[in-house]
Amino acid sequence: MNRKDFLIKSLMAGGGLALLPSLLASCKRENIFENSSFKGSVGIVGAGISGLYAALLLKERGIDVQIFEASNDFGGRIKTLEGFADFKIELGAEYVHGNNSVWYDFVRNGSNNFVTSDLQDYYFLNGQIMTQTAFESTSQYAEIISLLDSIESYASSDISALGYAVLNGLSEELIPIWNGWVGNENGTDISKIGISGLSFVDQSWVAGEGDFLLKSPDFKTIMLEAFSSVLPYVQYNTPISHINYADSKVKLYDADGQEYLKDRVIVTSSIQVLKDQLVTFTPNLPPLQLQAINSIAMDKGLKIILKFSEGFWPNDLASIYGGTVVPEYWATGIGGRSAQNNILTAFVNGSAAENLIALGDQMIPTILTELDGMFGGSIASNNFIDHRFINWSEQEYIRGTYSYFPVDLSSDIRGQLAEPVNNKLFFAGEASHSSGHHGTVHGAMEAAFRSVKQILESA
Amino acid sequence: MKKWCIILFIAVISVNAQAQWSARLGYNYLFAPDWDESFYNYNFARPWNKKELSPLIHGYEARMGWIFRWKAIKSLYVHPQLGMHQFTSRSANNGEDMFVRLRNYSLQCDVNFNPRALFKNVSAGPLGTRFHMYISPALHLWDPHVNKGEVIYSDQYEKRSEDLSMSFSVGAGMGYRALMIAKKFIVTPQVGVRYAPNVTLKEFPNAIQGGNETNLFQKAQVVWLWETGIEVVWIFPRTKSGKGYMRPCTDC
Repeated sequence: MNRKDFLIKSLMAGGGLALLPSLLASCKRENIFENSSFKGSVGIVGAGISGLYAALLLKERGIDVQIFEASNDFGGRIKTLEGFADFKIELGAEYVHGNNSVWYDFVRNGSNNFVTSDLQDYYFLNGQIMTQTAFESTSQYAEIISLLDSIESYASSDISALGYAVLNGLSEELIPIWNGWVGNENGTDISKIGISGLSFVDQSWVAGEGDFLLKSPDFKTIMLEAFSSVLPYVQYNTPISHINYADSKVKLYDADGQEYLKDRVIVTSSIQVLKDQLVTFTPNLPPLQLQAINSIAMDKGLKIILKFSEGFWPNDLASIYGGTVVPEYWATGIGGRSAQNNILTAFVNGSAAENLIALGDQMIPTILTELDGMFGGSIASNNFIDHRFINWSEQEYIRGTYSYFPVDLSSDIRGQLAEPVNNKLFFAGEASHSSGHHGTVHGAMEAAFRSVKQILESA
Repeated sequence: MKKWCIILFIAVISVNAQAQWSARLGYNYLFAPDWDESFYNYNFARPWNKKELSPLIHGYEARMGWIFRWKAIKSLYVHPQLGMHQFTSRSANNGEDMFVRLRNYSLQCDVNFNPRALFKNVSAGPLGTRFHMYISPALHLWDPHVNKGEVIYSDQYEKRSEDLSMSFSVGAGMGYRALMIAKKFIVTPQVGVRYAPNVTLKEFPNAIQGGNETNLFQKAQVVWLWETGIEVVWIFPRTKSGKGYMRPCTDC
């Protein structure tokens, strides 16, 4: 080959190489979202975040959906309190946990108005309030943080978080903080939650770091916009009480006996609703699903919104841990810091919630007494104006806060619930999340995504 | 430590005395179905995004190495190389600016040969026969990087994944020593394919899709890499006359 030949051939080869990427790209790689042959109809039980998100994904694929909502509103455990302050207050999910999740992206797409101030947690310890920084300088912090860090590698037989603390000699005065961190935060208290389940969550968590708080708008407003294409398919006040999946079409029956025929059904009801058999099935659910439903736990929980005439807490307050009546208080958003709207939220789960509910009219005075004890004098009682509260266990079609792993429950149990039943019945919702994000909004969305994928693969 | 540095330096000097330096730039086409799936999951899970995040498909590579003559009569050459391959993908939407970069650093040892020359004598140039094939075992260090490009809190760690992983691969291909320039450089187009049977990037798929409910967590990935590139070898003048090697042969 002479130089001229080489140059000509090189030019031809160069041209070929330039075309190669587009040629290779034209060899379209297959994926289930574009290649699924499923074209049937899907009924979705529940218009919470999981149900609406599943509907949105299915509609994107051109699949018919109908959403059956038992109550008269969408959102499930995302709920807004309006009119109590000059900003809306989240009565349900309030924080975005981690920046590596579809929920974070969903919220971020709807709003860029996050709280950006550097807030810090405060602790009530040894009869005084201390900052995170001050707490970190104590030997007690080293003691509790090393115990917290040890959870991830825990591999012995299961034990309650309280038993684990006692076994490892955690100082008694740190127990309320421990309860706030690992019990209340996970929807219950330390006497009920298992260390093995917590360890599983620590090992599996991939949602990223940080807890993000919106200034505005509220989550419901973001959902209203984002789900505008599927909200018209929500049928409100239609509690599905029975599902028959024995035949080729799945039959759903509402409380009035009205029948609906669908090719596939996604059940997003809370685990407590399934436990209480508000929805029954024919044939009976397989043993694996029944075992999961009966053993995954969900406790009582309260959110109490307290309005004060004066903001007597620090300006950079995120949360206060260490209370025995209320395991965690937090300042509700940056909007709650104006002179006219000094709002604290008391977040209470598990036994503490049961105790507060049992107090009846004495609930608020008891909380104010605890706050007085933390901040001195009668500052909370004297500045108290009003309150609202929601008892999630009394919401008829929810019946609790969110699910957790009780002692001795295998981490595989949620995977059992997530298995398709006869390729016609699918479970979503936070409790069915099998890989560590249960009890969260992003977990509910990821479970919905999984069930949609299962449906697309079921054809 | 100092002793080892001296030994290494002497080794490099002595290598220069017998080997030809090579450099290669090339295009890579990546095929890794489970990693693709994490991109499809990401896109499908975010229907509100206007721009999709494309899977890692097209990338480039840069390599440097030395070519040793192993057994001239059979035209066998050994070609250790250090390389870097990079694939990127980006989508900027109203929620986030998602950037994914996958690098792999390779230490590979090609063996170049001509099938005909294995069985009969053929005349060969300084780098063997013009047409040659190669097999190429390699070690890889995979370095994924997933970033949202956004920080809300001052102490927020914005990166999602930076887990390193080692793996083994084997490649094969062919090349043609097409042109000698100024008796100093030989230009060689090459094409090949590489197979890495077991690449495990613990966090990478979940860092992309955001969540692990589709069970990609810690899943080992089979990676195929189609490689094409232009290699340039600098021919050392090794004769006393300084004339260097002869041109590549034209009849082999």
